[in-house]
Amino acid sequence: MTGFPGQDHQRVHTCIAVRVAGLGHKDVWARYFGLTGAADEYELDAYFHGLMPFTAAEGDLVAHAVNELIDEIPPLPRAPYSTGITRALP
Amino acid sequence: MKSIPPHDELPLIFGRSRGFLLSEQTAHEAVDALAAVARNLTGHAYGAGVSLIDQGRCTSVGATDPEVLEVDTLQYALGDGPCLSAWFTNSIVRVTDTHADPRWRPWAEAAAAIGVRSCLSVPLQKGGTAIGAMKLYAHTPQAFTRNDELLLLGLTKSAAALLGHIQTTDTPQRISDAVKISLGTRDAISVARGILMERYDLDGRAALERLIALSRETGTSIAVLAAELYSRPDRQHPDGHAVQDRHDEDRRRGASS
Repeated sequence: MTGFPGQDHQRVHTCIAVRVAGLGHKDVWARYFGLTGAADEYELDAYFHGLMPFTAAEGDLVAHAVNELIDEIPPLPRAPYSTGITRALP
Repeated sequence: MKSIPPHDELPLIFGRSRGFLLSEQTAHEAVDALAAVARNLTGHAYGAGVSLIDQGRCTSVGATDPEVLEVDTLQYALGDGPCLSAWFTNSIVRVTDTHADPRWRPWAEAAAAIGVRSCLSVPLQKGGTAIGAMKLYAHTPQAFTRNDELLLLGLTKSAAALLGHIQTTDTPQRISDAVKISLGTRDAISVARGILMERYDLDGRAALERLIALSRETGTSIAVLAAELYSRPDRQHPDGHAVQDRHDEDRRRGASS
């Protein structure tokens, strides 16, 4: 397993994305595994902690799994304006 | 880590699921032992046990005697009793004499008939929520002291810590559901990768990169893309590469004629 440019940048920012979105590591792994990821849960944990480098392809799969999970988070409810209240109600 | 998903991951996952089941058994055994400790340390108690209450379903674990099970089952059948009350009110319930206690009369009378005269029930708490109760039964009235209460309180903390991990009885089911879904998408994506590899003469890695790129462009999840890719009757690629398909079709026709 060899490093590639931007490897740490990708890992760190994937970690930040996971943390900010409040995603569980188990959920991330399950999605990554579903996307044909090859690493097990502990290896993924080691990757997040910078203890185990992933190939660019595997790193991209992790990033993609995280992004899919983030996209699935429902948007926050928005405050309605005085106009169009009745239309906004379900 | 290997670059190709190894099949030997499956025993690992299923082994992990089995681990959860084993830990449930281990927790029950530990609670059995705690109930026995509770009974033995309070000299006046003849039996001890733990009731678990989850979504209205009551189960007894760690019952030291068949009589404990009988008195517990009475409570569950009647829908009322000291342990259900301890759980419901999340507070200690003391029954000093089943002959005299005005509460839960049907249960108290039936318990007295079996020979149970007093009862001490302490709620099991998990994160401030009661998940059941641990109780002691005695054949004599006013059998339990303040010290017995403190002892039982201490033991319920350990019991709750053990049982709290398995209280959600659907945990193993949920895990295997997640694994099932993951395996399903893995399968679909593998097929889709194969289609892309054959169609565009790519290696496995490039095919996956293509899927990721397509997913990013279209804002569609890879699983959905993969499902579309192999279920489309016209085999038209979602990115509009139907032309390539026609070439493939022509090539096949040419080869067969």
